[in-house]
Amino acid sequence: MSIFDRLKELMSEPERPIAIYRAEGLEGAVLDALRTVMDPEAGLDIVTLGLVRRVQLDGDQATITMTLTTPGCPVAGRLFQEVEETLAAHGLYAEVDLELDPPWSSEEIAEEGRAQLG
Amino acid sequence: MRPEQLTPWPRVLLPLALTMLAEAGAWLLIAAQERVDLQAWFGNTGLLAAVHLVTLGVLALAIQGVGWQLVPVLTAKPASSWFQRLSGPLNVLLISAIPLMLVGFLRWPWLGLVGAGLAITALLARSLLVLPELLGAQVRPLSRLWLIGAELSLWAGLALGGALYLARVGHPLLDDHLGGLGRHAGLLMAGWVGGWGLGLGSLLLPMFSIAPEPRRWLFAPALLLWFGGLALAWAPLWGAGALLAALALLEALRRRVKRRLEPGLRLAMGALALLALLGLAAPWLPGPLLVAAGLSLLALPFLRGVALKIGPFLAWAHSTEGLGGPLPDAPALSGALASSAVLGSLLAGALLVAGLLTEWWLARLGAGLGALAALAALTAFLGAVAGLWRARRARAALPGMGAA
Repeated sequence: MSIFDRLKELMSEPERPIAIYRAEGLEGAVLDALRTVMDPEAGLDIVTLGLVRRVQLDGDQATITMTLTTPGCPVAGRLFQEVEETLAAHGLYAEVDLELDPPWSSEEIAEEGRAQLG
Repeated sequence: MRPEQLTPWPRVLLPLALTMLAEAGAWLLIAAQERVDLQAWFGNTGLLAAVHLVTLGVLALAIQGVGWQLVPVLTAKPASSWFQRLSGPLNVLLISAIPLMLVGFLRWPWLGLVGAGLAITALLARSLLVLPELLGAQVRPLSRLWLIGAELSLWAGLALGGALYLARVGHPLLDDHLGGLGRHAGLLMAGWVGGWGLGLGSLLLPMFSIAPEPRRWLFAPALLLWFGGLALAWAPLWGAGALLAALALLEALRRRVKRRLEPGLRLAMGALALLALLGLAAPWLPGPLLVAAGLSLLALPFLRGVALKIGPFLAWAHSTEGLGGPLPDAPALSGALASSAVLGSLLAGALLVAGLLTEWWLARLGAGLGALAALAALTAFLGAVAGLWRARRARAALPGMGAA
């Protein structure tokens, strides 16, 4: 990669993904359960905050693909643990997949979350 | 992947608490000076002791302490085992160097030399641990580049410091001693401390206020101008970089989602606004005044603001195993003290600069106020840390709310 390309990459803004806030059926119920898991710093639940990107169900197995507001967040492991324990209370064996690329953006916070913070 | 990267709290929180104590001491030393001549300040041992108490006891210790926790956050990967193992001993080395340097300036110069040796060893060994972490990461290229530039400035600034010391003991290596002194201060203050402030600021301020990253088309040229200006020792170029960097961060914060900010974050934002003004004024300000303004109005308030925010957060994170809901507010008294420390700190800096330009008694008044503000900040810091720690423990003890 040339220096020009490296500079262009440095100056360009990263792509923005779209988080999921609602779903039908069981996936929707999982999302509702995840609304009890709070991000400690933002004071919002992880769904409203836009951290959850995918929910995949296979029997009693749930795979939650989520991101973090801050890659390398020192309490991220605890957040994942809370996700797993919350879903375990609903009879699901959950696994959390961390997806850091593309990174989370504050634009992904749901409207109601913005109202709560603003 | 389980990114659990909490550094043991004494390695981060203890240095942060000590920085506020050191700052109070430095302000008291300044208040004790009868008169300071701006043109010959480097001949005043009391002032030199105060300056080094700030640079080592506050700025270097804060950078070293928070770095053990925040470098892995910035790089988004666990730090090397050496990084983790040596953090405690290097803190001990740097903390023990500070009183030795102080006594060296005020009484026995040979002790100062021992202290300087310990401090330089600690800082360079820390740098050798930090640089591979920054170079080997994949995320946040701009924030990492600010920190890499900062670390290179540290090496250059310390090399120049060595040459200046040799000149002081009769072995001049530099033709222009005053110019060398200016470069030494510029590389360490603006290059190292400023680079860390802006690099970490670009991570922490958006993180805690839920704001987007600074716009790269503003923050990347700012970095080039900032370090380019320092390398060429050309104040207008550095000033343009300072202005752009401050604008980039303030513009990102303007787009924040969280409207209500804690006193620490408000202080950091105020310091950024002052950085923009300092950038504009840089071409016209004399070097020593630029350093005094940069230290008292920018570096100290900015680092204190960050410390007041991350200290309680880390105390909360360390106090139990699980998350247990959102972070509670700090105790009201701590909040009030932190707000007073914020105002006192900025006013003290303004009075110091005014005193250097006009009547020295203004600077002494500012220094007294600065000492009080630093002690208020320390009390607020300890109060918030203890309050959150207790609240977390009490919450964990409630039935059904136990730690995971």
